[in-house]
Amino acid sequence: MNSPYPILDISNLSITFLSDGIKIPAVSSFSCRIMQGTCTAIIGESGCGKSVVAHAILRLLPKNSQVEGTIIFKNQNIYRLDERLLQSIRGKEIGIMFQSPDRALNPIYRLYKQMFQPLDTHKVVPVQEREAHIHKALIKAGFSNPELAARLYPCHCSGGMNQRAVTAIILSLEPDLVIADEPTKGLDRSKILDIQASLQEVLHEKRTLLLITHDIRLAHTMAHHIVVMYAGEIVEAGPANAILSSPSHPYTRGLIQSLPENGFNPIPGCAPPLTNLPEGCRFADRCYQVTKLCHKRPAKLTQVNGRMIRCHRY
Amino acid sequence: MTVINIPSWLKKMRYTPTFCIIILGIFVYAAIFPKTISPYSPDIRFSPYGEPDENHILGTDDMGYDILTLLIYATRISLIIGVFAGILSLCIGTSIGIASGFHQGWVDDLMMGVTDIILIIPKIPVTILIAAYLHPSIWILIIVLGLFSWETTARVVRAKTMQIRNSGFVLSSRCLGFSSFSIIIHDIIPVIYPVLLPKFMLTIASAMISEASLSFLGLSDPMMESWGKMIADAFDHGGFIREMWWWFLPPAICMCVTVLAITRIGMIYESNEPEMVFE
Repeated sequence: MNSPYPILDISNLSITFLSDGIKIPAVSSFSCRIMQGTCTAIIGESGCGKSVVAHAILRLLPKNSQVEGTIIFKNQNIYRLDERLLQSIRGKEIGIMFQSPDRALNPIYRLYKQMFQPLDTHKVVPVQEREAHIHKALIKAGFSNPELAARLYPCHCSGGMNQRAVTAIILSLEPDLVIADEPTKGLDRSKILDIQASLQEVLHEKRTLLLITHDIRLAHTMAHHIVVMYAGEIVEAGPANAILSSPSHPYTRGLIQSLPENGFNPIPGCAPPLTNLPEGCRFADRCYQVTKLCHKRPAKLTQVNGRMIRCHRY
Repeated sequence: MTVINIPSWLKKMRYTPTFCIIILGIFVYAAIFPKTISPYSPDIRFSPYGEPDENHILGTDDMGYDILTLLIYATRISLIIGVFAGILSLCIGTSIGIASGFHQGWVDDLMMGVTDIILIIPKIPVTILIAAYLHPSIWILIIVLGLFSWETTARVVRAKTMQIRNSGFVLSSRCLGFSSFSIIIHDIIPVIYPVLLPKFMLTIASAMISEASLSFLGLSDPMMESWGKMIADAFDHGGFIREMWWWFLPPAICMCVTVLAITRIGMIYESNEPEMVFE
């Protein structure tokens, strides 16, 4: 296999929402490079802009948003493409998996039709092989009887089955990059294991996975690289094992200490509102190692020991 | 006290529109093949103002035509006007509703502005004016009735479309690379279909009633015999003065029964089922 190359290269991505004349900077100067065949996890608490990044990659943001910076997917700038070319990328090259799979399926069609239509639009396989292709995808997603599963309606299936059906639809199109946006939100442990298995399947097929989650345990088992976000910016990024075993940024440390197995110590306070960001470091008010400098000047993202950290202490 | 045992097939019929489908089916059959059930040809004349007897179940009119024959042949015109006006109104209403609900923004503002204007036009007076101004014909009647009845359909379709376009499966369809057009065809129209059918049926019913009112005012195509025109003829040519109820009552009853049957069929999705909510 040839050496890994960046399949997705995001540089200086800034996203601002305009709402009633108020500017809300949801994401500021986000840069990230995702290598072919790896799993990158973006973690952070709710409202830190993780999902906005995922939506920006597929240009799904609402009209009141302003996007600056570049997103380069396989040498194509996503924001320079016209709508028709983008439609051929959506699904076929980049697949996205949303939270709550029950809502992602059209309630009035059988699974077979929902799997057939995308194959028909993107012409992934010749017409006569489509049925076999669908059955193969369903088996891969964990349905033991694909003929029966294809005839089901989404309301016949449990949440886990729908999750596997969504995975089957996305994987049947053979995308190079799969984005999973909070796939485990609000699920119990056994369901999370189901989803983890389907995500492992993505990696198993040498596809690239971008995992957006606040489930640190899931990120720990799946990811090769981790990007930690706080209030719209990257605070720490680097290899998953290194970051999770020895976190450097106070916020990452706080996140890991707030896990139940590490003593369940939550970070005091809450994230600053995006409409009224502090002048200095955005984490300063909640940081236990805060200095005078932190309140005055925003920290820059610097490279330390093979990872990127945004903190004045480094 | 004796308990009346209602047979189970009759009980079932209360909840299913089978009975109404049969009634509508009979009228549709009469509209398509009037020759097979009418006792006489519509051109044969008998003695005028005949009372009902064994040869003429509903008597004869002022020109000596058999009223039952006229009634059967009039079904076609009444149904054609209703169905075509309904189709026209459904097409306009659905396209405008989906376009404004799906694209929103200025498209929505413009189209809902037009809808508001159509909504405040007093329908019957304007229809009378147009029908009186233009040479009255069945096609002009269909176009006028169709053009003035789409606005409520558009409103309902717009609301439903706005609700569905923000749902998860539309978003995932977009993510799978479907164009807006194919999302509308495959995701939105099939889901709003249970709303479209009753709207369509109600429009057919109201178009038939409007046609009858216009015919009664003498504004329909004089060459086309419809139920409304039969009542108008009975009124103009002495049916009411002579109390010939067999002349004007049967078309009115046919009208009511058809309208009721059509409306009931339109409610097919409203039966005993819990409300379906698509989030």
